[in-house]
Amino acid sequence: MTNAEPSSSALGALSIQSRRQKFALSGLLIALVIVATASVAIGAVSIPPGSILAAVGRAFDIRMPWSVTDQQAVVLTMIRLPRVVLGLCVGAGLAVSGALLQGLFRNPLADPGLVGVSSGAAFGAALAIVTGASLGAALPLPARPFVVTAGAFVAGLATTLLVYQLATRHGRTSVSTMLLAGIAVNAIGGAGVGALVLFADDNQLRDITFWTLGGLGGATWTSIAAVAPLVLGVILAVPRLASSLNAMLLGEAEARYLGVDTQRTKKLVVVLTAVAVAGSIAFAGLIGFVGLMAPHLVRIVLGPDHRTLLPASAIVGGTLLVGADVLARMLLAPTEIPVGIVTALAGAPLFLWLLVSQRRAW
Amino acid sequence: MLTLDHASVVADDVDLIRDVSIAVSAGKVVALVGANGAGKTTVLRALSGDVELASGRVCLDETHLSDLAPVELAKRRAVLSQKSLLAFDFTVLQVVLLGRTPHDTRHTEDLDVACAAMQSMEVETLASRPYSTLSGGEQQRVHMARVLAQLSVGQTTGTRYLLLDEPTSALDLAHQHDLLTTARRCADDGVGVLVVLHDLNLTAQYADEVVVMKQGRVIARGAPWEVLTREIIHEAFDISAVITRHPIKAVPLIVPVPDTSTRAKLRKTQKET
Repeated sequence: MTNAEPSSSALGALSIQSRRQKFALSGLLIALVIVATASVAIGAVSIPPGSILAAVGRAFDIRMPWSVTDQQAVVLTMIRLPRVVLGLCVGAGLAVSGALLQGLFRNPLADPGLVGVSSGAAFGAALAIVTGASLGAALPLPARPFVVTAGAFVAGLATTLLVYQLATRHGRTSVSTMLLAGIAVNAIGGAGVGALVLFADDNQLRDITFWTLGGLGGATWTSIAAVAPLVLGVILAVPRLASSLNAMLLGEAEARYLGVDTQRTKKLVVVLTAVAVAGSIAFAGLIGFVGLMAPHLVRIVLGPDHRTLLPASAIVGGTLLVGADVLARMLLAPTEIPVGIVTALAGAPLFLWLLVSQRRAW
Repeated sequence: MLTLDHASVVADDVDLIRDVSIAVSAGKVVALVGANGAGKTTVLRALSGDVELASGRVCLDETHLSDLAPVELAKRRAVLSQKSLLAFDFTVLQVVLLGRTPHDTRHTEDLDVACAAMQSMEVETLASRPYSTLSGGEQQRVHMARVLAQLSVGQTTGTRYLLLDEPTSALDLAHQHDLLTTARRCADDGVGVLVVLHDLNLTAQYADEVVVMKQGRVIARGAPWEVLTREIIHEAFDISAVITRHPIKAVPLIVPVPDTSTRAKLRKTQKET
């Protein structure tokens, strides 16, 4: 091979690309800040941006030219802020998991629910709700509110690992078997939830229904303390997988020729998504479409390179979910719509529009 | 030296290759020819360490391939598969840069290597094009550029190996010769090259050694003049050929003469029995 000067067209293409990426990433961050601010500001007690700054200033003993009432400050710190932070964590966790699984399955239709984690978690949550009273009595008082959460988390994690085991033979995991096993396990989980509904009383039935529709209403700093480390840990871990996932887009054999340990990559992707998704839906219930949509939107703007796709998906996922939560609280105020309904109602048509308008290969 | 030693590969109780030994040494171009299903691709995959051997072994400079770390192997051995798919739409430059995956070189160096590789495959003007908009031949050249970028010297020590599976199958006449000239130049730089080819005249012009396979076995090997003979070609491909001398180069020129009447007759008798 000759050691030629890099051709100008290739370098030009690259610099345009990187400029566009920086531009788009800062745009995404600005959108995130705007949506998060709106989510904090809007509600039964209105908290204008000036008051938010004043509250922040009060916490750090800095005088601000705006004022904040005590009521606003309490609503802000105890209700709005936890809700926004939980929304960001859950949205980011779902979106990063969606991006990871779409890369692993080399299929843009992959959704975090595909590997069985959602149906497993739903079954775990329903089981905890139905048996909750008797189970909860055996637990110390402070642990009782977390029975459903723990049930969902453990069952979601266990189901995903089961699907992974089913698809692994002789130390090699077949991605397509995992996909099919996930579908079968999802069906079993769905049937299990259906069976539990038979034994549920009216209150439990309502709890199960609301859990499966998803919502950020239960956000507290305690729940954030549990879910944020999980999601942040996953987000910090995934950049190391980016170049392996890029190579795996060429197919598994090609990736191995490029020196990628494909088995390790598959294992890590499954474990990381199981942790992030099970953690997210344990606290927020089932929320569809965020994990599917966010990576798609990012790919349209920034292309399929996982080094930008993964972090950008986290930002977009958080923004989408917090935005959907604002709508969920506003549309029928004072009644709150489960946020899963909003993500599906707003997300599905948008997704269809993307499918039709971007007919080119994904 | 990259060697396959008395190797057999079995899949679903069918022997894909039986007792095949093959050696690719530094600076040489070895061509692997044979009819469809003769086991050429299996040999190439076995040499790349991607299939489990039922017996035999594959070694790189006396080290078992399985004892080498995947990344170390990838720095010294690149594989161009018959068909490479791409699930999401990278640009051409991004695809070529994937060849740098095993290397932990600086990005600017990777870029220089990728640009040089694209130039040698004449795809540098396509650098910012989405991969899916390319023609089949252009895609094949992009993958060749990716493989060349993977094998670029840099900090790698030891002999490097290039395994090409039908690299010219989608290329026009000029690019077929360009690609094999590039492979030849790699060999002149000390790379060991194994190439699966269907065109016997390309084989005659670019190979140092020709290995002929039939039904999973090696039936002949040697220099082009020794191997590309009437008899061996007839045995391997079941077709008659006239061998003459290339008008310019000192290599054999193979002119296939399909004897339709005999083949048709043969088929007829086979059917009847």
